[in-house]
Amino acid sequence: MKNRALCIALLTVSCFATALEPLHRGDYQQVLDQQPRPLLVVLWSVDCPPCYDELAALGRLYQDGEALPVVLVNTDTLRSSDDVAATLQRHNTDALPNYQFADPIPARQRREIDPNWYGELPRSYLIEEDSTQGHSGALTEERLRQWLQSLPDDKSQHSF
Amino acid sequence: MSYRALACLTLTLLAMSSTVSAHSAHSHNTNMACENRIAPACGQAPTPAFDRDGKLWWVWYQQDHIRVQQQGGHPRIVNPEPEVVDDQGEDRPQIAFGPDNQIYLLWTQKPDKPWTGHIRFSRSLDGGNSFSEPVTINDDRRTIAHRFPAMVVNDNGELFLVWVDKRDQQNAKDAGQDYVGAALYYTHSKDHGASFARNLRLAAHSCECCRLAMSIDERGLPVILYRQVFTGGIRDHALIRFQDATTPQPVERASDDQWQLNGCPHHGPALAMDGNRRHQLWFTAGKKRQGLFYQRSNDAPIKLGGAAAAHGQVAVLGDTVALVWKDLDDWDRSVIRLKLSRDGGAHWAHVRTLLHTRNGSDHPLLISNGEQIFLAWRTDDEGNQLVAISGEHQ
Repeated sequence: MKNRALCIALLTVSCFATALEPLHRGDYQQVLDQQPRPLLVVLWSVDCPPCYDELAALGRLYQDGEALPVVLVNTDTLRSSDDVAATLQRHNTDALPNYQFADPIPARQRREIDPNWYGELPRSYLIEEDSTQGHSGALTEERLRQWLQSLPDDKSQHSF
Repeated sequence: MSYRALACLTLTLLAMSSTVSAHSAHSHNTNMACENRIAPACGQAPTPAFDRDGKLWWVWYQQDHIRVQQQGGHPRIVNPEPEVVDDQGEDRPQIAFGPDNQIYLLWTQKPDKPWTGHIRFSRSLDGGNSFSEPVTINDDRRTIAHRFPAMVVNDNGELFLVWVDKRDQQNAKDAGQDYVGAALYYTHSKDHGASFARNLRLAAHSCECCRLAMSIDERGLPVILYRQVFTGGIRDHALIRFQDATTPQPVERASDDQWQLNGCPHHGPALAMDGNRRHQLWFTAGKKRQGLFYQRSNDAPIKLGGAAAAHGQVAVLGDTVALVWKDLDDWDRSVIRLKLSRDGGAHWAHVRTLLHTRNGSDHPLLISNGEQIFLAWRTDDEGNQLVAISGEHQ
């Protein structure tokens, strides 16, 4: 009985745990290689109110049962992962693949991702077999839905 | 089974097998030396300043308290009640001195709700032996964002404070309306911080996630440079001058970069007034220009560094104008670059690299003791570094 209670407690606790992986220098390409194409990568920060709008939109899509080819990357090197995980849970985006910048020099992680990105957030990349497009600023739910709907039957280039 | 439940179950199984968990908090300065030690270099964003006698002081946040220390002296606690304080590079505890070396401290308290803050103030009239009970400066007391405070003191001892405030945005939200960005709120004190005038809104629709820059003009009045959200979501810069301490002049545009962004630059400007001349540094990724830029009054902007150039500062001392910023070198190190003018910003020497580090670091700061300009930079590996940049006669 005691064991069962412990087990339930463990289950409950871990349901609130977000799998938030540290993203070290050199990891980014490997993360991309594990994912299908097309893929949407969204970089965000706890200190970025417009990022919350985009997280919320992704969270709603996820709850609607959409299969989301999305990877989220939090750029708050100095933040505790608890703060980041709490924000992800609040927006129902905690079950997506989630990473957090772990290199002590965020600028070089940014350069690894895109040498022409200045660090503004949210920053999104639409990655296809042979192309990558970057976009700065929050993507609306409508735009995300349009993009998702175009995925199954359209093998041509997509765009933001 | 829903995706969420499935994910939850998967997570549970993984968590039970101890293979997945949120990785531990990122930390800096948590070496043994800082666990049992209270020192400026143990803060995340220690800020130095010279007092009116040229003595060096530090303010920093460590273990729930704002700490102040004169170089070579002992650390003092400013706020007896512990509080959580923002001490990231862009929003950090501030220190300034009055004409008789009154010490003024300003910081953002972080309530236990994301993206909120209160502007807090304390002073010492006895050279840092005792501090007044901290007061909350924002007269809107809701747990919403009041953040990114800046403070300057003029030679008469008048104290000017400005910060980013979301009270108008919250009011709009409560009324079911949209409100772009935040607002700039301001107050001042004519009695050395004993009391403050009522909060005054200086501008609506400022950027909600960028530090502000404030300097003093030739009349002893504040000049504020900040990122404004202009029509169409253009996040360029604006300038506010004052007619007198209670009367701001209309907002002027200070950069025309056409940066349309529904997002956060996380990158505020820097400003130093030199009489009536303006030296400004700012960052943009606009249609018209991209990167870190310097501009003297209405001269043409000068680009500084490449895509990684960030967090610039400017200081003026006599005819010397110093610009520093953080950059990334070809070996992936963080470096501090310097660009120097000896004739008030008319001509510039080649860019020099002052310091570098292979690990984490704070933003660079510039301070002056009236004879020299110094770069201050905290790095995880090297600690607090202070480098004399230039004497007036060097």
